[in-house]
Amino acid sequence: MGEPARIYVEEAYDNPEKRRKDAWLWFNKLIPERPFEESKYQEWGEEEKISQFIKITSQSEEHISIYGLSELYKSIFEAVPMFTSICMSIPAFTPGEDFIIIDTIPKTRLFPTIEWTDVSQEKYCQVLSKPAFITNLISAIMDQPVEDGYFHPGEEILKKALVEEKQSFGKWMIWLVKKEPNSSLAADIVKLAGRLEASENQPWYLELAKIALSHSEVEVRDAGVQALELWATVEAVNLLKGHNDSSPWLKEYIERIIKQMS
Amino acid sequence: MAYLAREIARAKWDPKPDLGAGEISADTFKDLRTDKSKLSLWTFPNSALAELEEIALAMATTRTSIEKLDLAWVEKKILDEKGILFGNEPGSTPVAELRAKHLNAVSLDVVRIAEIAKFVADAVRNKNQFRRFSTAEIKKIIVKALEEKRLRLEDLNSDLKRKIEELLGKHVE
Repeated sequence: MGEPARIYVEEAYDNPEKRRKDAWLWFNKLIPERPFEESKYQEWGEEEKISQFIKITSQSEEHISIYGLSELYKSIFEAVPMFTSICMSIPAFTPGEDFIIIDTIPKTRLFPTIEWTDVSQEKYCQVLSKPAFITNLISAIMDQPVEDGYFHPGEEILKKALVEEKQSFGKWMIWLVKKEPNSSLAADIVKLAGRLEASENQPWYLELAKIALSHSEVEVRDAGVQALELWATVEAVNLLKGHNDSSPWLKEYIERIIKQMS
Repeated sequence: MAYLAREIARAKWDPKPDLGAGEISADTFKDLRTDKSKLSLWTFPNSALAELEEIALAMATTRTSIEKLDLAWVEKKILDEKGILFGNEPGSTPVAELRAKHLNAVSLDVVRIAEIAKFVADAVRNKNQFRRFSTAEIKKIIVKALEEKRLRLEDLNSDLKRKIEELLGKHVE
């Protein structure tokens, strides 16, 4: 279990006053209609702090939903002064699991007054608990493998999640495929994603395909190819053109579909 | 020479890093799912592309959407020699003239299924007895069968019918 969040916090903020100021800025930016008062916060007990945190994050414009706090998160929360762990460490965690790095966060949007140049990208993480669709999707695939050409219940789960988790959907899908140790499961997830309609507003689909194409298991790369074939956008074709697969049969297939799609 | 075809997921049949080069992943059994100890297969006389397209047509028209289709085939003779038994059963495809091309390997136990898996792996890995039909090719095959009136739209399941109608630019209710 790594601790990129704490390192990041310590490096980014050597000035406690500045840190606190930025925390407030961030909070009030997220929910401007209900600004927080610092004095009130200081009166809260630990439990209330946690519950307020849950409330804040679930209302944020990032659509972050926190369903619970792991012991890990609590320890970070207690270790660093108020708000810092919320705003910055964004230690991506899932209860009982290790840290995950979801994505980089727009720096200026979160902390407009901070100089970020000394902070490497790797130290960003995001606190997110797994949305329900992840668990539902995995269960659906475990119950029934994804078969080419046949409807799978996972399609409905993803369609719904795409609407409900609009902001974080792509990040979660990418995380899931990166993290999933079972390559067959990862491949099925990519295949199901391929059945969603590609949209210019959903750039995650290309990122997901790139991750699939760079996977060590041919099954996942093949699923990435299949998804790109179904999406059939100009960008999808370009991605296929730029991919040189190590598997001869998949390479031959990619060459064939590039001609058909062009 | 008669061949027997089965839809597979090609990537599962490659050698795996955690197994020996000649070994076959147990995951391939997902492609050889039996029902009442029977394995559904399609027969065809030679491996010319036109024959393979017929089998692809029979299979693709039972699906709910248009996606790539992986076919692998083995010589029927080598399964006969291993004592695999067969029983005729019309295929469930909406293309009436292709139904008779379907048969089942019957009375299969795990040993015989493993034998079949070995032959399929050998066919796919070493004999190039594998063909992947792309989404575009499957579309073309189905549309051609419709144009030749070998297939009626109304015989397709509703999901596939709707997708074909969209493809053909027909009104969808």
